[in-house]
Amino acid sequence: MSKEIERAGIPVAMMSALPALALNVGALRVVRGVRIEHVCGDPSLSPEEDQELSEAIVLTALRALQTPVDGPTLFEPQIGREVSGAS
Amino acid sequence: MRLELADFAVRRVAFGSPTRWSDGRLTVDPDEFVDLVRQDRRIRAVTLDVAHPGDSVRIVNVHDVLEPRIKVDGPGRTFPGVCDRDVATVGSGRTHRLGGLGLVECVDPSDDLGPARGESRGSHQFIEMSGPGAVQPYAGLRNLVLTLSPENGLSDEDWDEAKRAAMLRVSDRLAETTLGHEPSSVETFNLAVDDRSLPGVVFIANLRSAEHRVGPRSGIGTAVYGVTRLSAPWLLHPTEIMDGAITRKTTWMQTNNPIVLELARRHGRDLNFLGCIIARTNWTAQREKQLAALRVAELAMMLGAQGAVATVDVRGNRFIEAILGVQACEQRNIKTTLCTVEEPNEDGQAPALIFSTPDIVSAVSCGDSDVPGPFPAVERVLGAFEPPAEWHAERPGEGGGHIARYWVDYYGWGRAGCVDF
Repeated sequence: MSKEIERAGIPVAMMSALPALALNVGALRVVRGVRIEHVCGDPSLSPEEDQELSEAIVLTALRALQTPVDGPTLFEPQIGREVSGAS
Repeated sequence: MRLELADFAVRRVAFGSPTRWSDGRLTVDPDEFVDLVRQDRRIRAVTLDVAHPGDSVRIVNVHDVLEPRIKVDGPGRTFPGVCDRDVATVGSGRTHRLGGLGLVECVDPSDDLGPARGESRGSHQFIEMSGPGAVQPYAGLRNLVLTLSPENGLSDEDWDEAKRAAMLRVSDRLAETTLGHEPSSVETFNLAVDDRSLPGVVFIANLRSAEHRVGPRSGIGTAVYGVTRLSAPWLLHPTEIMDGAITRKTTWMQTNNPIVLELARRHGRDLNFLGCIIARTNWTAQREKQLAALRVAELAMMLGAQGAVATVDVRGNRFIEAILGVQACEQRNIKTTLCTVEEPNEDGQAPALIFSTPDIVSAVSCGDSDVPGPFPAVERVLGAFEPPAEWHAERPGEGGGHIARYWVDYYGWGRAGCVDF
């Protein structure tokens, strides 16, 4: 889907719990998410930490949209801690 | 470990009394089996039907198929661990099987709308017993079809346990009919032989877990010794699988897995079959998938494997850990062949595999699950108490789409066509 939207000239940032798969199928801007069940947040965190995590992922997606890329590129959310699903 | 697998071939199933096996003919007393199933009052109703290869029959709402097997020597019980059965290690001694018989579990769809849909309820699998759709191995079986319906208000967990336990009671009773008879044939698998001059081979099966949907302690879904949860890889003797150590989706397919059987037959002759690595899939974060794959390869290394055959029983994201497992094996110089179905090719626009890496150098295609139709109208529809008219009518062929899966050839029966490359 992201490839088709890109083809129409609209940049796409794809937030994915499985960035390797997204990159493999050719998505251009892939943002590392948390888990398949909750890509943009983590219910095991406190509401404040969850909010911080979500913001980091969404802001990374916005940054990705503004970044020119030559091919499939992974964007890592920048927060004080690692994305918990990756731990 | 050494297992004698004695086959009591079933060529014909008929209703009658008393229940017995005699020279390829299985006679089933329907009243006895209705009583046996309804010992558990969580099951409101049950009907029994018979379908033979070539019959104008469509079996709908299929949840599982199993082949009755019983241990007559050696520890444990067949289909260990599920429904509170003994967890003693199976796979040695002697087992009787009713080869050629399919015990088909169907659930009448009227009450079948629970949230665990797709795992315990709401299965849309159906079997064509004749015509172009008769490509599933079950179409070649003499099928005893049990259609069940639950009492009102059961939880998914209760219902799953009730119907599975009922099917196992039926299976045990049918397999008992072989006691005291001479088998049609006996196959012996002696895994005590360990010839290290032969190439060491492992079988790697990636089997789905429904843990993400039903939690870690559920009985729902594919189980190893009754355990359904995500876990580090299991290591099983091939004969444990023949004794039913893996159940569901379908149980028949597990006990009759052609890759396990062929590797076991060639053990000590032209290869050294080191064991079966059962990887559970549906990890939901990339690092977990990577870890699961690395542990598979490490286990294969520790066993001394030089070669591996890998399969995967799902599509979608779970395919990733299967591919990563093959990659990890290849990176350890374990020559690995992936046996898999292909994705629908969407007029040549889609890749054959949803995910791959350059390390995957050997694959066997089991087709793309397309089964061209039309499937002709049928005289009888089994698997529902009052099947709607459309189940009797002609149906178009079935595409290999992600959701509508008529037949996915995970283990290479090859009846729907396959190409090696």
